[in-house]
Amino acid sequence: MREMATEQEVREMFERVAADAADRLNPPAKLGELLSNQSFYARPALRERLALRERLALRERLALRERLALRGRLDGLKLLGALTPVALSLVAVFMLASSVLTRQEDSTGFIAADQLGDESVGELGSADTSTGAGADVDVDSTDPDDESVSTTVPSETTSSTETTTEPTTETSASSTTTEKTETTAPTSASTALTTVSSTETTATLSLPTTGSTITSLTSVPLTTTTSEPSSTTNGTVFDILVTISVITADGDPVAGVSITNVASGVRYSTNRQGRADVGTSGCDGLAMVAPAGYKFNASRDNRLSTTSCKGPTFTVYYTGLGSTIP
Amino acid sequence: MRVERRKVHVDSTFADFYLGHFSRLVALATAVAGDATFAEDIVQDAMGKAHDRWPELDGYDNPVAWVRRAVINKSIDRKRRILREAKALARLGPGQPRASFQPRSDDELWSAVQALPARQRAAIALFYMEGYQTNEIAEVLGCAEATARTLLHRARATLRLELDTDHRGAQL
Repeated sequence: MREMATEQEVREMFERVAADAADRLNPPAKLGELLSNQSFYARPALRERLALRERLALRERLALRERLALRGRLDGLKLLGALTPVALSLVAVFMLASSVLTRQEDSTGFIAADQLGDESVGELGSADTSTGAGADVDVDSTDPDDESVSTTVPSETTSSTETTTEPTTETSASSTTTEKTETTAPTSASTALTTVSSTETTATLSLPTTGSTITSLTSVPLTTTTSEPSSTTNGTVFDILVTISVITADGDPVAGVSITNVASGVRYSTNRQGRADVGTSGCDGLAMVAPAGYKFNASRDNRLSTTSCKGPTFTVYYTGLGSTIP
Repeated sequence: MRVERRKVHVDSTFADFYLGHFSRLVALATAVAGDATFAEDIVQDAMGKAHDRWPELDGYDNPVAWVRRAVINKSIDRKRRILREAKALARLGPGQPRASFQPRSDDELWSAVQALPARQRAAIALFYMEGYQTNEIAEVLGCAEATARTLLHRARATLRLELDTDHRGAQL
């Protein structure tokens, strides 16, 4: 009897749930929502945004987990607090005894940690560039009393900047190659600890407007005030983003212009906005091959790189049709 | 041109399918997941997948069975996740209660059903709400028919016990 009553009650309850749903929901509206969402999901950019949202949700879950772990540690402390005074005394005696033993070890040949302090700071000041450790050192370069850190760009770097900041439109291919060599950055230890914040510079270039084949080669440096820690000596691969835009004399973007990275040999092509993001490494030059009569804007963005080009200049080469890539 | 005609056909039949089953599937998901707001999301998600695969599903004898199975699986997963989150939040201390729609069935029976293990809850919802037989329940849950029968038996026994120990049971 009771069983039958239960079955009836369960059935009625589920019917109420179904009636609730039927009363409350608006299936046509939900269908429209679904169909619009299907197109939403079909769009790659929005899918990426959705993936980002999922990653953020994951981060929140991880934060929750950390809070739980912290809570667990606090529980452990509470447990410690609940120990009887006698047990606490025993713990204190044990800790005291272990401390005495440690001091005895130090006096018999171990070097105490506080004795190492000054020497280790001195080591940091000299910046061991072979390991790239200098990049991680937090140095206040505005402190004038801090003599162990150089905050200026080395003189050879400055001179190479001066050499390349004023391009000549009639430079021959051979002289450009020489300039490229000059822009190779120094590898002195003091450079490794120099950090300047500015990261982006734009240079505007123009080619001769004749429609004939251009045989000359022009080198234009993109001068930046950035000279960031370098660790090239241990073979770190740099990742610098250079955005090059190609426009007509009237300012219209030109799509399909071929741009070649001299170092890697990889070719890029400008998009509809006339721009191409050219990833490069180190201070290698870029060769841009394009029809004559266009203007070029090239900008370098170090913000994407974990380590940046060690030299203060970045040289872009460009030629007209028929020219030789340096 | 042929592709266009096919697309229109797909959309119209899918719309009929959607409108015909959406509410019922939400009710089923509510019974299993225990939360009507989540249930809507679950069904919408399953319907989205059905829409993606509609040319294939449309050829099935009973396409709603495919969606129902997806809904049940997602509801079980979601219920487990809710319980895990509730436990974690309980350990962290009192917080803001999550605002969501709950069915009006706020009696002891609803609580008892929600306290059942996930697969037992799914079995009992399919049995009473959808009128499924044990072989159909087994198919949806991906288990043997004997297992489905056991799930159903244990769920009913638990509910009976719960209601007998209630004050309502004492009145009967």
